[in-house]
Amino acid sequence: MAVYRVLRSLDRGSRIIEPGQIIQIDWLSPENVGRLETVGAVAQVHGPPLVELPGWQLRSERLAGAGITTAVEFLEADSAEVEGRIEAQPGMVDKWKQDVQKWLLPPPPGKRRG
Amino acid sequence: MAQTTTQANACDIEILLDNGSGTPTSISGSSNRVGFTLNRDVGELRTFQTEWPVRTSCGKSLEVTLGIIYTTASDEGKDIIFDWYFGGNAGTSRTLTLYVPTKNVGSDKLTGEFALGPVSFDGDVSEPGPMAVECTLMSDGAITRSTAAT
Repeated sequence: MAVYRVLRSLDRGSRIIEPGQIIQIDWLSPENVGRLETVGAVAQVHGPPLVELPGWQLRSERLAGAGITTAVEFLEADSAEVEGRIEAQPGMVDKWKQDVQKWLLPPPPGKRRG
Repeated sequence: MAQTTTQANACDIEILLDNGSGTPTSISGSSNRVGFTLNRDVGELRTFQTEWPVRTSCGKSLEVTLGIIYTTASDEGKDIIFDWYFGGNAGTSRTLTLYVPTKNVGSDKLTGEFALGPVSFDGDVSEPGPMAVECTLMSDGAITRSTAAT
């Protein structure tokens, strides 16, 4: 499942998803996701290779062994399955995913990342 | 630039207004016109020896006009508006939500609290069509715009 950056506030009925967040839109059909893209509410994220992320050299090598080389491939992958394939502790991959998501988020106004 | 293919008409606009119990109630089936004005409070400044004024701006507000059919059923547009006006709580704002152009995914959703403004009605014996009620709602606090994603 593709990863998207929210460009406009999304109304899910029970909550609002604010612009800037990185999400997977698993509650809509591909057709409706396409509508959100058409109106400019979301845009598909084309993340960098994991090895390009600062501090991710070793982790990217481990994940490459499981066939995962890009940030988007990693975010899309099933966490438990990845943990099994690279023999990581339970919950570790979800923590790594949070780290990747931070790198994909736009920096706060006036701040530089680095 | 290529001609647009994403034009939309007003046929499937959805309007939800709280009834007296605070329940969002669709009045799309008993109304046929809605419009809104996005207001900005803009002031100006011009000093001596200057021809061109400069502008300062601050406030925002939104004014909605609803065209409602005069119907006799309860919990339809006219009934909700009349209850609001005559029910002793006309000064209490209610939630209004507009989905434009439809309620489907990707549509604009405008929602917020609105105060009841003027309500007008004009019965004309020479008019064979249904009677209409027009009312104006004025934003009370911030109005949010989001994209429908459900």
